[in-house]
Amino acid sequence: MDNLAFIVAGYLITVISLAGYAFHLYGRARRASRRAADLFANR
Amino acid sequence: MKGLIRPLERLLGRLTSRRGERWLGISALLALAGSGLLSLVIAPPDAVQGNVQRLMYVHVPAAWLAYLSFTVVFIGSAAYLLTRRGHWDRLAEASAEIGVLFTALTIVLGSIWGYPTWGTWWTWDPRLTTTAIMLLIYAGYLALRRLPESPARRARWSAVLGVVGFVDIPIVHMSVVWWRSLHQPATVLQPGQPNIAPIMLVALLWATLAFTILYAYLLALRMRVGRLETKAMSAAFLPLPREVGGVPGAAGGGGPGSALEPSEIEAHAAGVEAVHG
Repeated sequence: MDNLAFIVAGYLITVISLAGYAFHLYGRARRASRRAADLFANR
Repeated sequence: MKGLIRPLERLLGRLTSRRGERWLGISALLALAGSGLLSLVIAPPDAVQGNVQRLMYVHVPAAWLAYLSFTVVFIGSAAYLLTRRGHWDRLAEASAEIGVLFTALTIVLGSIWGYPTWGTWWTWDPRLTTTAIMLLIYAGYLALRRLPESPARRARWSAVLGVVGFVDIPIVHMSVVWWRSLHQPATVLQPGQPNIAPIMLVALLWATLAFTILYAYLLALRMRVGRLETKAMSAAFLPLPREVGGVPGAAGGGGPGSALEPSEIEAHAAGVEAVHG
């Protein structure tokens, strides 16, 4: 396949950035949920 | 205008529920797997550019999603200015963040595609330049949202920028028509028949659909993060038990013997959300 490196780089960057962002949001949601629960519990 | 807002709010509520989010996540995964198969295996290589043209199936949907994200920022911002309801502000913020990611992805993928076809990673072409300006406008929007201002004022300023910044979107899209450009003109969104082989068109439309479902999923997830962070903020600013007449030390987050009933906590959280978004 011609220009294979460009195709692989393009698709890899797409997958890594979108999946990375989704995982980042998951982590943020989990942390915010835990923080809210802790704050309510300590009152 | 206000009659339109209610049905939009209902649709938004359905899409961003936990059930809607899970459904969107599974659909996005399946649609993206199908898109990978169509664009990398089934679609033929381009007669002139060869296989590197396969980057079109990620570059064009990413650009479309950037337009869609900033259109949603515009809708959320205008609706916030009309209603002052916090969820519209959260919608605009969530969509701007995703839009910046898709714009950056569009530029990077265009650059990777540009080098083997144009012989350069970057050129000050009208389409590329207006896209870079679009990225800067919405990066500025996200920076504005980090200002240590009162939440209500910050939401108002952001909404104004969300409406004004939208002016750049039609300029980006029309730049290849209005000015002499190295970038090719629209292939699908042009008057008359699309200038593309049917199987390539199917692969491109499928990829665009898959990216759109992924966008809806990311938006639902990002809005949940916004809701949870607002809830945490409201918890941080709740009055202490003795301030509402409770017994000091008997606090239990609305449980038995708590100074605050769960309904009071919910009402407070809703109040903070309504005022501060």
